[in-house]
Amino acid sequence: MKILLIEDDHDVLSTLESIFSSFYPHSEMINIRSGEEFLRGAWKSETWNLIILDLMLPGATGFDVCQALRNHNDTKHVPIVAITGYDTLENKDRILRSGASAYIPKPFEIKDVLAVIKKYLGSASAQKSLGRSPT
Amino acid sequence: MSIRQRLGVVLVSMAALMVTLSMFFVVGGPIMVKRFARSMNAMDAYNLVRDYRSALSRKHSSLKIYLLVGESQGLNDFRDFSRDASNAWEALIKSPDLKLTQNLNEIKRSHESLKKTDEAVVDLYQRGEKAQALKLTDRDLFPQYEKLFSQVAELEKDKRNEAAENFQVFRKISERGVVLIVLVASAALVIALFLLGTLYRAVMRPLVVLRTGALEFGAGHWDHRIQVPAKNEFDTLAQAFNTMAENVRQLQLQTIHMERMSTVGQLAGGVAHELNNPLTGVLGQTQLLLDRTPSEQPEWAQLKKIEQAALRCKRIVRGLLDFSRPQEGQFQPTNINELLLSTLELCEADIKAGKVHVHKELDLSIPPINVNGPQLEQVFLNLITNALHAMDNGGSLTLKSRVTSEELVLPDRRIGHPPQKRPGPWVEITVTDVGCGIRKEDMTKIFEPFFTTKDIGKGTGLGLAISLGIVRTHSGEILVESDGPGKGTTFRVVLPLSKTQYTEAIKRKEPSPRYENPAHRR
Repeated sequence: MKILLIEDDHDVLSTLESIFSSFYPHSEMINIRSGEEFLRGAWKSETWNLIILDLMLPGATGFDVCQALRNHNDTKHVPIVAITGYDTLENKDRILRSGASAYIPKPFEIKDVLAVIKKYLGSASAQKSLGRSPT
Repeated sequence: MSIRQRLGVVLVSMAALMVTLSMFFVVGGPIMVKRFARSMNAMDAYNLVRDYRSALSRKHSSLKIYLLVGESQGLNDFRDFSRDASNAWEALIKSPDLKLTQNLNEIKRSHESLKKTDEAVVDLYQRGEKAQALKLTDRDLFPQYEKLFSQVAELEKDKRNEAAENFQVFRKISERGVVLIVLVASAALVIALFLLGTLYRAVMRPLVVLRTGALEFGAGHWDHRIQVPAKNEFDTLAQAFNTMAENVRQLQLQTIHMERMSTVGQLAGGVAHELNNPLTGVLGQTQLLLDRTPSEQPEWAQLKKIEQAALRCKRIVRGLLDFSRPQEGQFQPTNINELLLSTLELCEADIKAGKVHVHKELDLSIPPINVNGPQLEQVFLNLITNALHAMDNGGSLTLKSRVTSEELVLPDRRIGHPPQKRPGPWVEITVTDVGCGIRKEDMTKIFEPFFTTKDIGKGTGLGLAISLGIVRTHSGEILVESDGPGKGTTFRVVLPLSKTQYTEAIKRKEPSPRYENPAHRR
């Protein structure tokens, strides 16, 4: 289970990492802290099961990254969960149209995040027992 | 005295002075001329009389010589002089001035009889009757001459005196006239200068003050006030300037205020957004802890409190972001009633859940008005939601819309100004509930940001503040009435309507079409 976290804020990052280590302990998390870093080809053709993308990134915007992900063959079908601290209808609309699969405004409650992750990765307990499993 | 009055006085005074001066000439002139003429005439008369007397005297002398010497030359002389005297007499009696003399007839008689006697004497002498001639001369002629002489001398004297008198009078009048004219002219000049002087001062002093004021305003000193030391048109002008300056100052203050609010808003937005990241950490980690802490343990309760506090922070930040975000939507002709109805639909679930009965009285003749639809929807949503929250155990919600032409007393947006009367027409939307009402002391506060009477955790206290802001952007106002706790509340949103739109609404009105609450509602 490979999770890509595109987020630069350490508080949010540590929370996400805590969530995954608690409920999906066998998942592998890769963190990229800026859109630029990502677009420069840091993705090394990995196969990710889930991408969590913050919209307010330094450098390239979350929208651009999202579109790039959707355009690339390797990531075309990977679920992208967009998170943002600037919750407006405009942002929500735009990111969903840019290809995001889900939208969670910050600060999020654990239950909300788990519900979304469960939708794309299966339930946590299933993961625990099954170990790693590719999509 | 107003400038206009002053000018009037000056003009009238000048005119009066001119007229007075003219009168002097018009009236005094003829008088003087008459006197002078009379004097001249008297002089002329006197000269005529004097000429006559001279002629008479020469005649008398020549006769005496002739009578004495008896030469024919003497007779010729006498004849000549006699003729002269006659001519002089003719001239004399022709004079218009002398015609009026009383004793002229007497003199005439004397003159005539003298002539006869002259002839008689000369005739006697020529016939050689010298002694007779001399006798007649002594007895009649010379006495007659004497008589005539004295009469003529009398007349001469009279005329001379008359001439002198008249001339005196004329001179006196002239002198007096000149003095008077000089006096009046001087007085006129002094008065004129005085009036012009006061006029000049009445104009220049305020003008200087006004000029200074205008320069101050030009330099941007809008708290300068023009004090004109007069109670005339300049005062009115100064007041108008002062009013204008006050308005500009208010506008300035308001602009600064708005800019500040905008900056604060932007700042708030930035801060709010920044807060969301650490808040994510707090909320997330707390909930993770809660998940793995048994609820029996004391730490669980404390963790729960942290979670609630974090959730409250989330709501506050949410409210702040709502307050500060740039406004969405555009101004477009919109049907207000449709907007109301669509907002109601959004609240359907809550209405049903709250067991609230909705009553609608919408005036369908209201024409589309230029509003920002999404924003007004937010306002209606806010008001309806507040109404629903005020009625915990069910109740009734009444929505009304109508046009009205009444004049309303509305709060003045300018800082520190009392409420203003604003004439209609208006579109009025009311949202009435029968819920918990608003306390009198809270009435002014409810529109303040972050003011809420709801329990902690419910509501951010920003809804009405945002709604009021939106409605004021539409040049409207939100008014609230509540009879007190437990007696329900009515919120009135008034939006300005143009006269044309109002007329259109009146025209559209059929016998009161009302959208009543239908029995079956989807």
